[in-house]
Amino acid sequence: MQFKHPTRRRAITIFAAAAGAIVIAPLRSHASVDYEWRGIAMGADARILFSRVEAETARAIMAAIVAEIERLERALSLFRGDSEINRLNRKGAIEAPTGDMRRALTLALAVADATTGLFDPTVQALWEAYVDWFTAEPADDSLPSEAVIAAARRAVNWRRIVLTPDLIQLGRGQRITLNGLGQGYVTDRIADLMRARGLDCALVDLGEQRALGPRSDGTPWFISRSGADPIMLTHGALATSEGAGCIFGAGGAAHHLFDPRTGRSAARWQRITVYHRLAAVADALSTALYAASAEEIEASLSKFAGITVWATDRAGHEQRWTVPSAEAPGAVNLSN
Amino acid sequence: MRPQHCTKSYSTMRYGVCACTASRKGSWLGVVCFVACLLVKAAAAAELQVASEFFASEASVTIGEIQGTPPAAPVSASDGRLLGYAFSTRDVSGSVGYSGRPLDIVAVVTPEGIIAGARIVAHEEPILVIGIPREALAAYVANFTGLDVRATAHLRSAPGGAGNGPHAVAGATVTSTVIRDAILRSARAVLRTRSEAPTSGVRLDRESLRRASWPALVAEGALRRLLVSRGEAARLLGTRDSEPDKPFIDLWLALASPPAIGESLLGQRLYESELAKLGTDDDFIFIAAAGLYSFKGTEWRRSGVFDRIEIVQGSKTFRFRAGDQIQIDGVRAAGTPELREFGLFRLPQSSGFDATAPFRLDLVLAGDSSPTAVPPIVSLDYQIPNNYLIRTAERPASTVVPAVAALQQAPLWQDIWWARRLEIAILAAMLGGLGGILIFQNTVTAHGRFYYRLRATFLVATFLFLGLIANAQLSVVNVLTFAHALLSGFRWELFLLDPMVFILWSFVAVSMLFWGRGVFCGWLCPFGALQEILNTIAQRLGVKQFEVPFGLHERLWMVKYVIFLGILAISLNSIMTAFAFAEIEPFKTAITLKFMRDWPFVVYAGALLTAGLFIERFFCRYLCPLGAALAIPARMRMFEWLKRYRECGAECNICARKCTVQAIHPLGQINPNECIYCLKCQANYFDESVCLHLKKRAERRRPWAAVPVAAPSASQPQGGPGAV
Repeated sequence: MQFKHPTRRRAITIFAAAAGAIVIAPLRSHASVDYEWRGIAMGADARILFSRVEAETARAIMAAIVAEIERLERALSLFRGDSEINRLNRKGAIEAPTGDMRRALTLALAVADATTGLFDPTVQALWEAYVDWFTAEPADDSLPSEAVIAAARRAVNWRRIVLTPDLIQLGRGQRITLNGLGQGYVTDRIADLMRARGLDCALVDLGEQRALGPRSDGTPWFISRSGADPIMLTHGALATSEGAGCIFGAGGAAHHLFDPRTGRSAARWQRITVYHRLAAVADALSTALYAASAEEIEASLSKFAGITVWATDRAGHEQRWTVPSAEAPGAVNLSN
Repeated sequence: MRPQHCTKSYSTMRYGVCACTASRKGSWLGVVCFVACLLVKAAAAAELQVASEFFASEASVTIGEIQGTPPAAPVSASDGRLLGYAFSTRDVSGSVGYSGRPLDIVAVVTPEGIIAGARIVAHEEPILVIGIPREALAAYVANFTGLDVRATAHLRSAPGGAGNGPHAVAGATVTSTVIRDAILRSARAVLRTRSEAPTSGVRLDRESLRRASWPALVAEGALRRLLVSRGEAARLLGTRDSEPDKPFIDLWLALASPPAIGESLLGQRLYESELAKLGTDDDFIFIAAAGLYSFKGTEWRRSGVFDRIEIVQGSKTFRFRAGDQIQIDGVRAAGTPELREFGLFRLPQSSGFDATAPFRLDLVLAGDSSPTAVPPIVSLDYQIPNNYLIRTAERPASTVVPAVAALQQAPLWQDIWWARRLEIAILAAMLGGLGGILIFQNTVTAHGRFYYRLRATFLVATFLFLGLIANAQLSVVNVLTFAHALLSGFRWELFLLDPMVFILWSFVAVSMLFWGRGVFCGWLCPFGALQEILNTIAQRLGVKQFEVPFGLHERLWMVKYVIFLGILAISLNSIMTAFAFAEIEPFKTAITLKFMRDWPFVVYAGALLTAGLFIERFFCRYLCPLGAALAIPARMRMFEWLKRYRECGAECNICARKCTVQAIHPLGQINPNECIYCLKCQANYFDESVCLHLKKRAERRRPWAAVPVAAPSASQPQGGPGAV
């Protein structure tokens, strides 16, 4: 058995969705943003906009952010062969996981519990089965057979993950992905870092968008969405899941957002956008709710506070749910 | 189950081996697999050679050997000019593609940071799945030529120009991003280690000592504070608090490695005995806090990991395990505020922590476990103040001669051994001599006068050289340190740092197995030697010796074992307290500090020496915890070489009375737990003027002699020990 490279235990990417659909439009008037940084985080294009600091400070902050991204990728990124998550997937267990790995996985398991498996970090096996299928027969637009799906689904069950402070152990044959919330997690950590350095006019966009206060002219960040109304954001985070972001097969027979219960690409919604104070939570929920029915969304929402969900169905109709936050019910952080 | 179409490891491909697993679908897939593997293998064989094609304008291009970390091959022109470094993204950054499979791009980056060319040599991206032709991907990668890797991932003041380099392959956002990332990351890594930038030229001041109070450390920034109010914590945790102004946690952080910080905070005793002995380039993080919240929590006792604190430096994360914690029982600096808990944690040099660079402490505020409660993290930035940094002469990193570099990197302990080579040689000679005495003990002790002189000389050498000059007085503290090192991870370096103590202990360990604990006590303990020398002088001056009745004597032996076990037990709780109790040994006062100490210590040591004038080796007999510590494992000794006659104890008790420490039972047997192996009884054994057995035998052989005991030697027995 070769464990040196993740050839067999392949990785998954789920985050392509937002890239095409969400456009932040703060640059209508450039005057309101002093600095823009572009780079790559967790395998996706990243952009950070901020204002109201000296150039020297801005450079220092960016250096710290680049180091922080590098650090978190070493834990959570499936695109780094030597990352902690890849080591976990290769070996099935790791001792003394980093705090970031543990916290991200704790959240993943908590959301999986709360949504009874609509979100599941072990869907990596499904992803690999789909990649294999469409790689082997690229011209064929047929879907993987029931047998293939059933085999892959045997490794899908978040309840078999053991998580303690000094050990993470996967169930037999399991591989995990944290891409359903990893970018959100990194977004939050960067936001923490920026806030700790006194930034209060910033937007962190690593696929998920998190605002630390409004733009420097006091107006909210303007997050536009293709085919839907834009969203104004001053605090908190937005995450969007869209199946069309990453499709399999020449004709788009399948996409990356699986319903863990069936093993098939979820087909109910065109797009789910979630607002929450934390990007990691918004990210995980947008992934989870993509596979849910309207009734299931409502049922799930009762377990969360301070979230708003926009769900656009195949016909383009948008529904919206809001659960006020417990600590600050009246707070208005966004509008549309 | 769908078959795996072709499993291969990239590393095996490189050596021309391709392991294709058989498919369940049929052999045709095996053939496809084989062909595919061949293709990839060919590409891999070409490997870095494709880089020569990036330089069409050069007449000929040489690709050198792959070398260095990260691995890259220098590319040079026909006239020897360095054109750049060729590298494989797979080798440099372990790039993984969109599909999670290896993705390998060979590229060349010039010393100026410009991509001279890039080409995909291996990938398994399901490109066609996404509908992108291979040509588009190749063109995308080729398009990186001319990109300045130092200028991307850049910060620009908006409004700025267009971004650098190709933006994306339409429809393959993720793949293109991954490729872009792989090229840029690898190129930067290759450049970083090969650029001629001078080394930072700053090191931490680990030598200067000045005592500072807590407020002074705070003022200069050596102690940094993180105060989280209960109100703020409630906001972060999404709860409410009735007293929002009180502290949730009031935390202090310091890098304790510089003595001026560490010793000020922890006190000289802890700093010297614990920290200075550990690796000299290891670092220590001091954390202390007051308030409601504990930064240690309780979980670590079970899991062995401190899950609430992490040190983050650049892209590195450092976690503390239970074994990294060094027990401290208080903060000694003047003006220390009231603290609820404190911790001292070791960051070994091998962890890659750079004490001169900024770092931060991440403190996790563990709260309730509702699904959306991602535990909030508060951070405290730290940078060691400039006055703790020493700027060294800058030198270019690349011009160090390898041999010199190797010499400079020799472990610290080797330097110490070399510096103390004279002392080590003398010690080796002493130990060699002692070994000879022990091995040829019969011959030595058969020559009574020679033996007494030799022993007296040796004791003087032990006291003067081992004690006063080399400061090599072993102590029960060494035993405790050793025991704790065994419990918390043994490290040779720690013990190698003091060559004298290390060599002595090695010798003692071996001699203990052979002959028991007495070899150390009787020959190598400077305080023991001092007592014996003083007592001999006292006897010469006619000081009357006090003979303890054997029944009492035998029971008083227990005291030292109780003392040792007590100290050992205390050390399990707090090694610092145990070190304080180890002051029951007067060694530090009498030998190490040569009586230059506070008067109670001097009085105590003086009292013990005075008692030793009347009862030889009073301290060794009844109080010495080190002797007790050695006596216990010495029960495993292998040799019983001390000779006795059948009559010993039955008819004659003369050597029992002469025994330095009264280790010979009135019934004649030598108690090896108490014996200090001074060999005096053996000298008596061979001395016809002392030993009753020999006297009787001599009598039997000379029945005609008028005087049964030889007259000339009648006055000799007392003369022997007085040879000092």
